[in-house]
Amino acid sequence: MMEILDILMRKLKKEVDDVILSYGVNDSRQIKFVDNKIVKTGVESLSSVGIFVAKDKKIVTTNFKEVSNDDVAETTPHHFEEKDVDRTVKNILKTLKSIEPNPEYMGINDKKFKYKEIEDGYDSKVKDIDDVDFVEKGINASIKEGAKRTNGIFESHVVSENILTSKGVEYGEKGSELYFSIRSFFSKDESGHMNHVGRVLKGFDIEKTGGESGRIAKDSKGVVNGRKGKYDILFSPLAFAPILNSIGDSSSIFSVESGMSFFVDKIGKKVGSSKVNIFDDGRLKNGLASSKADMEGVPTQRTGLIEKGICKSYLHNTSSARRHKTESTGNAGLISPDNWNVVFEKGDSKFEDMVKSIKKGLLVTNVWYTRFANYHTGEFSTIPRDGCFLIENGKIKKSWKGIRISENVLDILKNVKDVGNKQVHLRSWEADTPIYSPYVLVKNCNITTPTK
Amino acid sequence: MYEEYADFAVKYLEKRKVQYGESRLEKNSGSSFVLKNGVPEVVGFDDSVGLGIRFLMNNSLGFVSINDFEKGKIRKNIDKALSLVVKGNKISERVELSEERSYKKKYHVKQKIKFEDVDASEKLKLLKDVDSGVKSALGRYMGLSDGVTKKYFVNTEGTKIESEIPRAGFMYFITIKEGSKSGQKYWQVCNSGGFEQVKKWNLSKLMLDEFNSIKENLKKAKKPPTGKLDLVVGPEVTGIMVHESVGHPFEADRIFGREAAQAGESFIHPNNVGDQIGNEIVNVVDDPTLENSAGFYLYDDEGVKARNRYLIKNGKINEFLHNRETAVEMGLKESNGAARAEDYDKEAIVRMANTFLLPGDFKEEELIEGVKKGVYMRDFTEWNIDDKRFQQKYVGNDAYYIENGKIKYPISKPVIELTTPTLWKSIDAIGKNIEYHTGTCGKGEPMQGVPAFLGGPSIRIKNVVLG
Repeated sequence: MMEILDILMRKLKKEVDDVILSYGVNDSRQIKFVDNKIVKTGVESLSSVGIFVAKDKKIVTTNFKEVSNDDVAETTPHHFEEKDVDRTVKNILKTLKSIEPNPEYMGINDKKFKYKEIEDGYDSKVKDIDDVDFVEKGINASIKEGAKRTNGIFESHVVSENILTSKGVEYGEKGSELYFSIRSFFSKDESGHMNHVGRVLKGFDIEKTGGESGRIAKDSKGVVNGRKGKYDILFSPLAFAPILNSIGDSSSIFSVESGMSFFVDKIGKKVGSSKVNIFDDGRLKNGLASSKADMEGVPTQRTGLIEKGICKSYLHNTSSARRHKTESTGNAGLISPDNWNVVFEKGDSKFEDMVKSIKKGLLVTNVWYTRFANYHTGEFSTIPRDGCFLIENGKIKKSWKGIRISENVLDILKNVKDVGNKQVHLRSWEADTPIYSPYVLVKNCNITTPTK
Repeated sequence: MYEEYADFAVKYLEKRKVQYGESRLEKNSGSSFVLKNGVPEVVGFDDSVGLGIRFLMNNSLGFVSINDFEKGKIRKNIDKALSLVVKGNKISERVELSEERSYKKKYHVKQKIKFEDVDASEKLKLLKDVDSGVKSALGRYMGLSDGVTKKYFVNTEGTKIESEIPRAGFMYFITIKEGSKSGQKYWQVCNSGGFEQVKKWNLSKLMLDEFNSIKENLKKAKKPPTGKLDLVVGPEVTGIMVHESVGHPFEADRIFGREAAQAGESFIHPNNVGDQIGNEIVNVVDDPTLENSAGFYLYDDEGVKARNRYLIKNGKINEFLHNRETAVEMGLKESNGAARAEDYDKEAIVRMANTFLLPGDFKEEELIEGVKKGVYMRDFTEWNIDDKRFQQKYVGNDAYYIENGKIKYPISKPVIELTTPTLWKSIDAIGKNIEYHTGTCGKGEPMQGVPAFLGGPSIRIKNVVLG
């Protein structure tokens, strides 16, 4: 395939100003389980070629599909026909002729760098693991803790990505990925959810994840409808993930410029309590989204988004950085700057001490259906689900359901009172950006309930 | 040109003696245009093609997705999936699929004006014209897309379905500032058909109307009333209510807990068919065969013939949405054709297509005239519902206070939080002004988004408490 990309690059370079070609391969396995039983197993073998082209500030993106001639391909795996490349180039040039320039476009990275590999980014053993055994261990650990039934998914991936640019950047990267998500039920309304992601098998403790999910389900026993009012909330890493995801999204200069960010005009200003330290980390060890360079070949880095409560930086690619007279943060996607892993720095508080410090509050272990009324102001609501526990005078009293957190992200950040001393790496349905977060205690949150 | 690979996969599955096998070839080609604050951000055109292969072996389901069209690789990946199924068999659910008629059909949705015959410059100009009317908004992000999905479905039971469905879509996200306040609106429009659909939309008017209503609301809105009152909601709000609190809980895979890990379960039980869930004037259907709809199809992604599904009839639960697996689980003879997949690389699961409340006899003005003290909510911003689809919240966007049957003044973000039975039992009058709006419905793990209509007319909801 790299041979095709070289030809494609050669032909495009003659015609346009900037080219980025990316070639990704994903080989994965997946097991979905429901009520402690496997309901589907899946195997994926997918590849894709992404193309970014700019000429006279006109930008086109597309993909390329290699058309194999099967008779030849059976014996010559990387057979291709040059006419497919010519067709793609022709289509790009035709489109470029009919469109208008983007005056804000300032080009792609033109420097060459040396790249450092991501620590614990690839584990060759992942492709040979016994997926069924993994799932069984996770389910059993949950049941051992008291769950009656478990549902979830286990995925293992081996991925590779190669980037070529018209400015001479050329690099490849191989990675492995693991994802386990398990939701355990004690009864229909009494449940617990936990998930975990990683790149290598070391430290990927499926039994711990399963066990925690089962324990929360069992602890939820006796769940009753909650009451509206103001409560301090101790968010688990899974429950805080959608908030961190929205902070990551809001930090992209693309969101800021299009009015979809609550950080517009906030650089250098206080947006959170001094306990809030949030980073975008493209180099996180064992980080699910970690990569040694971005799509235009700028090395990834750890970028402070909020440090000691002060809004520090937006995420840039080369073009937006030039426009805003700053440096790229190494977050280029093919079109706009994207997050890598969003990290909430750990504090020094133990979980038990944070619970003890709460007079009237809630321990929220998961949330669902986070929706914004206004991304510009940060108003949103989200629904606690799975274990949600009332805390009174430092003690967990009972399990609640039927409540909603109606809040504002900027108020939440300002009201962060305490931060846990252990982080968990996860990705969730509500947060597609991988996060690395501790428990976070937020004072004075607004809880609402249905009227009937 | 790839059909032979789909046929090959099914033949190979037969050779491997599976109980059932199917292969779904899916080819998507299209273009998209994005405008950010009036500037053409990017133009994209894409082509993707791949195979989704599913089989039943020892009553366990296996799935393969592949976009490398080499028979050796297809064979190898099927073998890999088969051995994974065998390995997992000791703790696998015993799956059965309903017996279905086999079909050999070809169908397509006509493009009166083909997407490829409209130059990129014309599509960009259309977006720029739309943008020019709302230039004073703080943030404007809009996109126009068109694409054609071609599918070739073949299974071991002799079914062979070929389809071609073109779809055009428009989405926008605008942020408007007025003094220290700001308002936002995100929405989308989609129809199956050719570029003639885009020409019907009158997007410049749509955007300008949205802009003006938000601006007006930011300028003049007063605090919303609270307490018990009557609520009249417009078709856009009815659409989201129907989708969230009827469509989703009526998905049989949710009812059986198959999506419990993420998308959640349902407050409804399999034996609730016949139960009164709403006022007897409430009738909700899900109809994939609605012409030019976003969720249009005539055969689902399991090759089952699609039909209109009557979810609520005269206020009673009438039927659920099924695929071949849930139909057996519920003791039904056959599926009602609700299996859909986002693309070739995802398994088909139970999905809505076009879900809407059937219209009544009232004009919207008549619904408002019947309110002594209440609120009119034309559209909404934030909303959410719990994962059993019982407790939901809608925040009004363009909303007004009603007194003695007359709209008095705009109000700022009225909030309604209520349960599904309360909502559908409290409806006392239904309008005849049915509208179909578009959503991208998300479900499954891995997450799959599929286009769907969410629709209905204006409705009046009596005696609800506004928070």
